Amino acid sequence: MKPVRTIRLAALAFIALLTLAAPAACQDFTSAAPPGSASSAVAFIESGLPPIGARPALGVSYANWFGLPELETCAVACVAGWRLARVAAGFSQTGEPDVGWSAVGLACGVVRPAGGAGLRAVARRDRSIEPGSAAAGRLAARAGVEVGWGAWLEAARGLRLWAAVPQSWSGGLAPPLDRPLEIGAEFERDGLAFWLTRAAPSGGAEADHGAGVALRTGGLRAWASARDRPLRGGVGLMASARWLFVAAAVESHPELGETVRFTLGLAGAVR
Amino acid sequence: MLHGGVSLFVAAVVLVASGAGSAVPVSAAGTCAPAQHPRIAEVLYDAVGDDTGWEFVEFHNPFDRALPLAGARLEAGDGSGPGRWTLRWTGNAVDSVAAGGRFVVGGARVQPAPRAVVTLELQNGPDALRLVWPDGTVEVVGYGALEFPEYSCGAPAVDVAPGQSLARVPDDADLGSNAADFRVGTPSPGGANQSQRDLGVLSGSLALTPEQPDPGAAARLTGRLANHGATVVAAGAAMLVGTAASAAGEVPLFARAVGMALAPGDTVAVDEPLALEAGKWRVRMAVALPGDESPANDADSLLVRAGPGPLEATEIQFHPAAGEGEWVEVRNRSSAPLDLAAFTLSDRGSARGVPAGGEGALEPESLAVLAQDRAALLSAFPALDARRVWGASPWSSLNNSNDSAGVADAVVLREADGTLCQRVVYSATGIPAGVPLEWRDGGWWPASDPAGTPLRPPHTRAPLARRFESTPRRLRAGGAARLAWDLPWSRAHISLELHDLAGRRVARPLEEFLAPARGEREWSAGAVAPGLYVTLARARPDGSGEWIVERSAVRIDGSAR
Repeated sequence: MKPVRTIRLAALAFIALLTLAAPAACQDFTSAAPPGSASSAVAFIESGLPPIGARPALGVSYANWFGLPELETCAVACVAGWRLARVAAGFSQTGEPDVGWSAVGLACGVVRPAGGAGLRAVARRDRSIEPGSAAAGRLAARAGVEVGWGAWLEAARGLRLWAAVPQSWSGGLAPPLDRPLEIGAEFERDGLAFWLTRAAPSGGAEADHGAGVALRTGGLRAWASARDRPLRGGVGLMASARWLFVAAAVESHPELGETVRFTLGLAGAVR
Repeated sequence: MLHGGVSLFVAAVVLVASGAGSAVPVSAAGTCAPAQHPRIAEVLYDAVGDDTGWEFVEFHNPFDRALPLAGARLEAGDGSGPGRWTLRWTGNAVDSVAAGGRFVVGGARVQPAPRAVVTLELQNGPDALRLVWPDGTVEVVGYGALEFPEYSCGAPAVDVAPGQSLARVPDDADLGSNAADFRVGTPSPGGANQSQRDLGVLSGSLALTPEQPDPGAAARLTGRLANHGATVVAAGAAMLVGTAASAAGEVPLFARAVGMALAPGDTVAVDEPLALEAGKWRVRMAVALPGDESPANDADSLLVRAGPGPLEATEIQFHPAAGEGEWVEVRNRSSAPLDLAAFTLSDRGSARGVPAGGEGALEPESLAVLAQDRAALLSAFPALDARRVWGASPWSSLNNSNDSAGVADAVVLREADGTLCQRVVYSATGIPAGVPLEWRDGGWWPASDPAGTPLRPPHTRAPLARRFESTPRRLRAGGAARLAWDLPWSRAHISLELHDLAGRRVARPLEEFLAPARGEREWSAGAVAPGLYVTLARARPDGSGEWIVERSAVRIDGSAR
């Protein structure tokens, strides 16, 4: 069996799985991708980092957080480009009704070969509003919005730097996760890439650090990553063929368990 | 033998005749043991309860010829100031002490009857006695922490407890100070202070460990033997015998030879294993030495109980927060009605409160409450059956905080004769303010109802579908939730952590605490920022074993910063 045919079959199977799991609860726009990458529409909305490619693309993503059945995220997003401009929009749903929410996301940006920058905005609304509660009578108690930005720069040949502040401003219902400044650097040469990341939580809390290594060969990209607080690791695999790419990643937390992510892209720009 | 009014009359006559109440100034320094006169050999100055009639002073003549007491003046010294001597008795011309004999001056209740009956009215220490002889010789015996040197010869003797005497041991001791010559003794007016051959069980030294053993379980009876005699007790010369007596009869516990030789004054610890059937026992330890001259101290005994007593504590409110006062819920676990007035309640101290104020006998399996303030408790819990609420007086206030050993206090239930029914030693650690302790799931735990359940059994929890359940899953910022658990162990250590979606631990709302198999505890979101979190509840058995870990999602509502 040819590899391309194998990938197609796997992609179809993945789509079928997502279809079967359609009623599952979801969250924002997390995706199976190495940090800092702008490989899909979903990732663009999540980080504000615009993709290089201008071709229209559709991406769907699924995540299960720490193996908890009540914490699953499904997202769908599309991205389009015209010359330097990039625009993406998406919808996601996270969690069971009593703890979960739905979200719509928008992102726009500009890209040049040496770098790009984008703005992102996500609006959320609780999935379940208890009748008679404060949330039922006041929009701010059941909905929230956050606005942020991201930018990346090809600092040197093979060296890519990025920064993102996904929650520059937020209002209404607080976002589910505090996401302050995230910065990173990636160096890639001959298909082998290394990266470092740092995320500084708000309120002066201790920063998180991450590191990873990725290997690209043909239409395949595999990576391994590690993070601290607490120390944990993950692996991922991305495969692409013409109009399709599929990625899966798993990260293992020593106490909370595994978080699994799948992403499927159609006609997307795979970096 | 003189009795009652006759003895008092005689005492009065003697006092009047001897000019009691006035002492003549004495210039000579006191000696510890005059060479040519009878000596003070024993003093009882503090009887148990009212001293009147029980006090005595014994003179001993260690020489081989009779010695007169004529003109000898016995004076009591008040150690609180200098020169405070008061005459108590004066020897008549006919008074003498035979060679090796004794002469007792004492109250009408002293047995055998004193040679001179006198109401001595001696002070408890620090005080003194002195015997002033016509030739100017003065013997001084001081006891207690005396400030002025005139009240003792050398270092003063110890101040003895009520019921004990101050005895010169051996009877002719002359070691240069009251402290060296005198020691605590068992009153023996007219008799030798030290027998030649006397091995005894040291009074009050018996103890059973554990204090209330399980029926048939191994326990240890410990105590001390003391050679009170003047001669050595050879190894193997004495037999140690233990028995346990109940209403059904007496059973032997142990019998063995004392394997150690004991020099005069020596003591030796004994530690005997035993096992008792369920019930109330008088455990007795006795020592048998051929030729023992003082059988009165040959045995000692304890009232003990094996297994649970008829009355048990089921709930303890040691830190009331609603003004209801402290209270202890008790249950009749026997098959017969109990009269609560026949029991006592105490803490670690010695004061024992006697129940009063309730009505009727406590039926089997029924509950009653012993309250510090009965009216206040009934006011706080108006639905209680007042007949089953008893006050207890004096009430021994229960401590609210732990000592350095991690123990706050103890609740002790005893029968009227002192037999232990139950001792509950508790720690205040981890008990929320105002929440009583209750007995459930085989241990003492914070009450399932924070207000307590006096006269009601503990709240029974329904089994959980999971090991842990945190409700609600959605709470306001700073709000509270409850963590319930249902674990396969009788005792477990539990903790709760909060992690954010990035996997960072952001809070530990419940530090590790000891808990029963089932229960629940409130936890607070505290200052945790609004967001979605994963609760990580962990449990491990008390001891060794595998951890149980469960995670669940919780949403903390609040506005964006």
